[in-house]
Amino acid sequence: MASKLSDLAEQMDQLNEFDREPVSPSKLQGGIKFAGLFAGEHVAATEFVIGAFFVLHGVAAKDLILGLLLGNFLAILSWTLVCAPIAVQTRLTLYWYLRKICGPGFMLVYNIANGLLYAILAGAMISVSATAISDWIGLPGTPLDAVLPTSAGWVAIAVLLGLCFTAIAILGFSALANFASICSPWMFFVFIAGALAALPRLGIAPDFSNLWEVLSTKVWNGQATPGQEQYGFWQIVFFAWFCNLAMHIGLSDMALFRYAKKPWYGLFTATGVYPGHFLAWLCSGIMVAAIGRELSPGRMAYEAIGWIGVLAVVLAGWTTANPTLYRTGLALQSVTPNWPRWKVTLYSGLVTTALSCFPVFFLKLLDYVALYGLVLMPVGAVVFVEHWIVPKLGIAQYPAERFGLIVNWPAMATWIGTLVIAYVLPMHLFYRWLPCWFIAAGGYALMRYVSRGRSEAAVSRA
Amino acid sequence: MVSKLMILIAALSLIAGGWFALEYMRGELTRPDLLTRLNLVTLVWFVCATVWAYKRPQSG
Repeated sequence: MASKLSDLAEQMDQLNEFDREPVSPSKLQGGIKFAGLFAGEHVAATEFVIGAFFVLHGVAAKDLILGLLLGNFLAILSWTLVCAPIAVQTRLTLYWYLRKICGPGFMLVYNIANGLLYAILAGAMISVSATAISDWIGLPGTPLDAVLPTSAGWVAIAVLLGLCFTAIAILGFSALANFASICSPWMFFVFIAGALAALPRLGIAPDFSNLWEVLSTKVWNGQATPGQEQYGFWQIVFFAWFCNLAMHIGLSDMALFRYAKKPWYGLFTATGVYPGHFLAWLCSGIMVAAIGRELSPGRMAYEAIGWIGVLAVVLAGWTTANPTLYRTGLALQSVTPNWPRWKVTLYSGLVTTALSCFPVFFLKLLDYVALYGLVLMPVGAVVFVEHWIVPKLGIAQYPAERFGLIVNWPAMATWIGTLVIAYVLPMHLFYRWLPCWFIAAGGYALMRYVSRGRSEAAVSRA
Repeated sequence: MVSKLMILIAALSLIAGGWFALEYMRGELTRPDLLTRLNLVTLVWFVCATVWAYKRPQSG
């Protein structure tokens, strides 16, 4: 068992070998590069769904705008004050830093969790693309409470798209990632043009004189669609804050910020966050209101700007699913001994395709995004404590590296314990991650303090 | 030079597309005209941006 785990750990290390060493000073990048890098992010297929859901959840216009401004600002601060400083000081990816702290056994569990979460996300993206085509060819719409597929036609489209996306991910991820990057500005344009083209249907005057009145009475009018939970200001603040939780508080974006010259480059995430998680969400809200609040990304884009709207939804699904499938393959390759990348991507693509047949994953996207961040958040808290708090407690850092641990059990207990507490915590799902982060950080610091002498003593005895 | 020209044309096409959508909103353009122009904008964007993306000097 121990040797098998050791083999798996070695394979994981080989996959990440390229990033093992801290980034050298000659490879650091300037602020402009980061501004450009983030500008292309955060405009994805999810934006078509999330912005529309805010309308269905009956958010008032003022709450939405102020909530998004504040929530996105808090997300930017999280990148700037939590993620970027650790990345700049260590110059390592989360993988290697976590390995020093938690050990290869912990990384194995983390990779599997990450791979499964990515697979569900990619499945939701394929579902969004499938809605575009199914609406276009006239299949019946998917009810908001649907869990299982609603028609054989829907399944056929989802399977076909899933297989296409998987084949593309296998055949030419790198070349097509380049093509995907040029889709981003055009997709952002589709959001803006689609919203502008949808405005006349809502009764906006050509001189915009009744813009606020229409937006606050016909789009975000404060009345939830029957069957949908009513959202207010704080739900929006927290959603905008946590929708990239795994990246900032969960520290995944250490992979990017290890190249930053200064920690304050985290502020450049604003170039992506505000266009994607503010303007694009507002635009999709306008488009869904213009078709009578029916959640159908394909139809709302088609009604606004014709077939290029449909193309945008399909491409948005693909450009998000493609790197997600790649990441799923990468995460799961570590637990599939000696499998080539194509085989791992094929199997993860098949699983993702199967998941995409269930509309529940995109119809519950807001909750899923909350869960996704929540599951990975405690790991970020562990790294935060190990980096900042543990030295102040006078304890030696990086127990897994120092003592050759396969699993840092205090870290594992923190992760599992936090998730158990999050499950039973009597508050809205969107708010749970914040107290849970403090619980995780406090719990891990306490366990490290209590167990500080044991590992040292074991090493001394040896 | 070619790649810079391509990205300039591509960027201008999107700006023009935004302008067309605004004109439609003001009632100065019919819907079929808007859709035709947006289709053209999309074509120009993808041709020019693709040429730019594959011709530009690769960093690293």
